[in-house]
Amino acid sequence: MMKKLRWLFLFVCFLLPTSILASGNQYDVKNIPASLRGNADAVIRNYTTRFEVDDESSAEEKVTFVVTIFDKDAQDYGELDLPYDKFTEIDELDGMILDAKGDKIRDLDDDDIKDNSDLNNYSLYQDSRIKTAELYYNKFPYTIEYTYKISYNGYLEWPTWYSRNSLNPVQLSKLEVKVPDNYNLRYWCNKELVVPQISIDGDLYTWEAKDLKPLSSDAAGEDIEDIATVVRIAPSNFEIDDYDGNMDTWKNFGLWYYKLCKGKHKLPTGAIKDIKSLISPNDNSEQKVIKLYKYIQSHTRYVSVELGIGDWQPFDATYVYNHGYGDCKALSNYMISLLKEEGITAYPVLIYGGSSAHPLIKDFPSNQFNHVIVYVPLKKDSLWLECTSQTDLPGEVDWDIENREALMVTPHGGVLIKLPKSTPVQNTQVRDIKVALSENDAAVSGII
Amino acid sequence: MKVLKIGLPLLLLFAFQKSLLAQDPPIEWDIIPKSDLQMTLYPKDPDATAVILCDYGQSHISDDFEVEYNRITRIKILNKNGFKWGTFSIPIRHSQPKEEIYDIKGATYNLDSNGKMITTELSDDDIFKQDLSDDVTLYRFTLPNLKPGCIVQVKYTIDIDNLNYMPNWTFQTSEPTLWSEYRICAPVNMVYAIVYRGYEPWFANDVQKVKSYFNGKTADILGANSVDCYLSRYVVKDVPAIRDEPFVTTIDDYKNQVNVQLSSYDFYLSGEQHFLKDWKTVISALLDDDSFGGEINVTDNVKKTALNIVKGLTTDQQKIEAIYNWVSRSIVCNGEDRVTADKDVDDVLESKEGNDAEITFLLISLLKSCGINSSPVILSTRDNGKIWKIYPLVNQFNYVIAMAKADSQTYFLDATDPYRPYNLTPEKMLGVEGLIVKKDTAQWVTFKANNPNFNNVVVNLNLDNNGSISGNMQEFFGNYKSLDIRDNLDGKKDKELAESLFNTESENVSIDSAVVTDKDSIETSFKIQDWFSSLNYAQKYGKMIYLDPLIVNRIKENPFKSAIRHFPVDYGYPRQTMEVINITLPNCFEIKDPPDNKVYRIDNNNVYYEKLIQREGNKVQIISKMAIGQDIIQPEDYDKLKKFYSLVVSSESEQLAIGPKETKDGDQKMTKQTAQKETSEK
Repeated sequence: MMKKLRWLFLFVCFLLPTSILASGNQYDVKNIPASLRGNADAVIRNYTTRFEVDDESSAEEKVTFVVTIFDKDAQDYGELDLPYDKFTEIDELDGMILDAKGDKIRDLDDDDIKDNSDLNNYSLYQDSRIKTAELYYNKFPYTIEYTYKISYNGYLEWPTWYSRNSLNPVQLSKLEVKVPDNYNLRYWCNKELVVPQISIDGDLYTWEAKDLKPLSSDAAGEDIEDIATVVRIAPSNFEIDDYDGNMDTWKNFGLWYYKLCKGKHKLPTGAIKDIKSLISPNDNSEQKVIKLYKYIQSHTRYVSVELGIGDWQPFDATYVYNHGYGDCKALSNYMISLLKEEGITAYPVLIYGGSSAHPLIKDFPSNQFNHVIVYVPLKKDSLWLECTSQTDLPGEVDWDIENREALMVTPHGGVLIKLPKSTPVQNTQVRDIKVALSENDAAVSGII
Repeated sequence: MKVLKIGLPLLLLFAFQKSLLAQDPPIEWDIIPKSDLQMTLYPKDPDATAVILCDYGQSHISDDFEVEYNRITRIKILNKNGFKWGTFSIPIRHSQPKEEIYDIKGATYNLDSNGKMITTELSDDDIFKQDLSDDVTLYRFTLPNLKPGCIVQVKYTIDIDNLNYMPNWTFQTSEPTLWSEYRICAPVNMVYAIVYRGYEPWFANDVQKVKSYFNGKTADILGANSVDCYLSRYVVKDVPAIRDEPFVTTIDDYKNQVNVQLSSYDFYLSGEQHFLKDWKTVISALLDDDSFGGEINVTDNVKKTALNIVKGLTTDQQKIEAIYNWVSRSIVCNGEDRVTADKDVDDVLESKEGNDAEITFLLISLLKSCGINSSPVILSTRDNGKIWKIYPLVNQFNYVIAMAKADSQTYFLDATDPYRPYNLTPEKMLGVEGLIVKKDTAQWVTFKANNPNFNNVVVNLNLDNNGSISGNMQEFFGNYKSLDIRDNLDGKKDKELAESLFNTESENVSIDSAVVTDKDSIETSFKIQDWFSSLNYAQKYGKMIYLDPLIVNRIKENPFKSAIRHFPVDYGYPRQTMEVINITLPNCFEIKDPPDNKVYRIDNNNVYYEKLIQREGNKVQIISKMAIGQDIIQPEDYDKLKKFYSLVVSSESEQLAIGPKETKDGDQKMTKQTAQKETSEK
């Protein structure tokens, strides 16, 4: 499988973009080579992203997406979902349906666009929204073209480019990144052989893939990172909601997060009273940590409120104490504050959790995180605390983050750190089942 | 929907507004009984994570001549899994009607270690307003300091600017409710049609005349003196939770509920006005409506298309089928369930795309072009909930299909799915009532499944003496399952399809190859044949091999979990399944202690199960049949049905114990005789 792909990408050329000459309609279905289409029910004709960086907080992403749909199974390509939030704005969303010859049938109407809240199922509140555009037609084949522009006003992440998002063939897929003069663009690609073409002025980077053949359905279910060329780009200096930072190094990225949490540790008197009554002077550090962790487990629960930079900045310790809830960063910050009160140093650790998580790209400092836990260095065994769980044991690392690289945030900046791997013994489930068999038919009673 | 508007000269009048309510409210905000805080579990329902202690709502006409709705809810949270009851989401509409929410108050009550009650109030800063769309804002908040055992309490008021929108009330949730009460108070010359339904008994359900005083705009209209009002009160006490249950239309249909509609009013200044008409009036308005009747149109284009489709066909029945097939295969359905069209038939023909209503109107127009008698039928799909027939209101419906008549036959056609044959009633309509939209009539029809629904499979299974199996099977799917498979083919290969239908992973069986025939002939049942093998499906212990003979479609679990069910089991359609398993044992092996034949039935419901075992030489045949002969089974028979399934589950899980034949002639003979005797006894 992999061998075949490498072979494909060797043919990816990085010549100057050849302008498609206006010989008839550009998106006439005839312009798809039969060998390229194979049996695919859709062909991506053009997927071009142009990302222009203006300064440390503003940028613009312009996307052209053109797909030819050959049968009903590919109609979902007609739906375009564009999430946005306080820091991004979607303007100039246009679309049209073209017939097989590439002649326009109709434009995207305002009626075809819906604008809804993007409330996920774990947040109490979230200010992100989603625009959904839909175009359908039933005379196959037909082609759909979408163009849109996303304006960034404050950023932490830049778009990631995939040469392909599915098994379907791709005629042209392209990423252009325009940076200000003398800007050193940091990028990462999953394929060693793929390098960008850089303009003479050094301000325009281009990655391009052409004529990607359809993949057989054996590749279905494979990780997209394995079947596509993936390019990530990341800012150096950035500013979001008046918090500026730099992410050229992990150290600097950590300093930025440290700044966000600064001044959030003050505990209300009620909390101080609670912990004084809890901790006895004879307790050693480990006993204190365990008691305080149990205290937060019994007094708080996970509630996520994502408002503006609230995706990143935790609510302060007083808020968590008064409300009895918070999200991962707020609960972690609260835990650290409680420990601080008892003279124990602890650090927030940024990590990516989830079953589909990829390994952290260590040599590419950038936002690769979606979760925060707490690390407590102790003389004997250091402890990891998952503050969103009311049932984990102190030191227990959840399965979806174990054995992963993460970023520990210290006053001196970020430090990469690896979470422990659980041992088979820890994962052993013991069931003691006593069964009493009775003689009449199948009745079974037992104690599990 | 008509909007009530009354323009009147403003008169300033000073008076009290005081409703002389006959009963005290069932709940006082400040009085939290200690026993409620001390309660740790709810013995009647051990699964409860929370208990609704009291939910009290009341609606009345305000001084601004609007509807004012007050609600107070108190919930006991028993454990951490009940924390979700501490989060509230209240949708508020901005238009039609315009609503305004205010005086939101919330609090959490905990007992501290000394047994003293600690109150933590909800702060206004923690109430979030999420704009879901242009029309709706969701007010969302979660109460602070939730701990297992705490009580949460929330109250708020909503003003609704349109008298047509008196709120409805639902008395049950997925947790038990100790008290739920709704009161509606309106002047006697404003007639609200109040309807209730449910399977739990009402603790109170009464109407009494009371006197109210109004100020402001309302006093201008009704007068400043005391006004006679009707106070309607509905109470349930100690009702069980309604959790997800199998075989329902939508679970909300089974909860006790009260619906309210303004029927008419009669004021001195405005005269008598009727809002609820009768169904005939609703039908004639629909037929005159531009987005309904106006979209049924025999245009030149429609006529031309229709004549092309039916060219050479002679009978109406053939024409109906041909037009249905053409529409369902040529026009894409964009998936919105609604009863009105935006696009006219020519647009739909041109763009080849439409919503459900647009497709149906095109279908009717095409049928009419060929002189076929055809009308729309409006309905509320199973998941949209049952129609309140007492309210002749069109907003209860969410779906429209076509009715066509040929000779003496009536067809109900929904051409929104290219894989559905014309004579298969869509599953979402089964058991549902539809209203035929035809001038000067108000006729209801109930949709039923037209055809029997059989699912049959034949398995030939060879067992090896090392316990491995191999074989083949051929499965014929019932018509609803066939449609479901065709709808979700997604270009799957035959083998993948067999694997997903067979759920190979959990059974440790691998599909070696598979063939699907008649994939596209949608009128026939979907058939799949596959060849399978497994080294460890059967379990080998020493000389013995244990085999689950029902390798496919085995009923492993009783779908009915609740101890009681006060509402019917709604299967949607009668169904029958049959598995024939032919097993070839290894030479010199035999079944030890063979299971008995089984017959279970609930006679008055045509519910039937049978398992037969026959043996000859080293061949064993097992036939397992199950039939649910009717679509609805009443709650009186729930216990029997639950017991029936538990017997079926244990029958289906009976393993065959297979071992080497005894060598001594006598023994072998004896075993055989015993077995025969057992069989004949049945």
